[in-house]
Amino acid sequence: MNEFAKFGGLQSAYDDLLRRTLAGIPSDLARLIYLASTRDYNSGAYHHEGLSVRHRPGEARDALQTAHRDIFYKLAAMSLEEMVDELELYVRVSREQTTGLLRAWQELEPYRVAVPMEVDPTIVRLFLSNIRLALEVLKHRRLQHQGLPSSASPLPSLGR
Amino acid sequence: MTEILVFIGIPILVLVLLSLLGATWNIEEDASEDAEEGFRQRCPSDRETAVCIRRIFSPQDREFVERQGSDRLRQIYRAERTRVALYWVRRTSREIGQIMRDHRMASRGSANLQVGRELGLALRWLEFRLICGMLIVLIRLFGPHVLKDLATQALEVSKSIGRVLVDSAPANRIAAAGTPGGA
Repeated sequence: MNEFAKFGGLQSAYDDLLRRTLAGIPSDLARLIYLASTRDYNSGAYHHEGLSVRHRPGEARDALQTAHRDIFYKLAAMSLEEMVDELELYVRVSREQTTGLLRAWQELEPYRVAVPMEVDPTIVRLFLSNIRLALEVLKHRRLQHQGLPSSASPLPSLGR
Repeated sequence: MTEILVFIGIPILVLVLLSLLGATWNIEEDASEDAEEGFRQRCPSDRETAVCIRRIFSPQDREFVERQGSDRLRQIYRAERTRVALYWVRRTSREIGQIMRDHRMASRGSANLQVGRELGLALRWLEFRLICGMLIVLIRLFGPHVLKDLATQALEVSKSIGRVLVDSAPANRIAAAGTPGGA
């Protein structure tokens, strides 16, 4: 139960968001990225057209923010193995070429913008670190599958 | 070998003694609203912190990495986790340090300062600093995955310091307002 359980309007908007939108997204990582995309880069305010029509704008905004934070904490609490599975599913569903996606994620680190505001900085670091590790595990598995040693690729920059 | 035993054994012995003292020390209510405010603002919720600590210091992820059979992965994992663990220890230490400084400042103006309580708090603080110091050295030496218990203890001590400061605020307000039968 999320923090708005006691408030009818917010809870209703939250449930609506889960039922109509997030349930159709196949993985938590994809849900996180989707929710981050509903946030304005400049103001940090959330906006969802359909949700704002069915609920008060403030409730819709708070529901998006809460869902974003809930999913972020859920992902951050995952074991590395679960995170690898999440990332694998995300890659599969994205229909992008695995090698290209892994390379882009390692180079550009687009998952950084998926972090919600006002969350514990240690948890943010753990989440980012787990994503980097999960990317390395997937890359290692691919290289193994192709019969190449994982030492064939250089060590990532760990200072970022 | 003897040096390592002495190096690890002495701090552990001090910790045990401090824990025993801390457990029996009578920390009573006193102090400031400012310290309470400071603690509430700086400390993340229990749930978030507990999740974080479990994951950072969990041996489960290390076992998973071991199963992948890659030295390179092992190396990256160790570097990543060490960095996150050190960040947590330093950040927690800094936050509690700030809370203690705020408390000291607020206590100077307190009319009903209790020496016993303040000494108890100082002991907890000493214990916490010792654990943080040990954690930093041991994380660097062995990695965070073997230190779950010590990290949990650091978390508990930091929470107990915060609890004392938070619990003490109402007493201070009551004292300031003048309770029935009070001063």
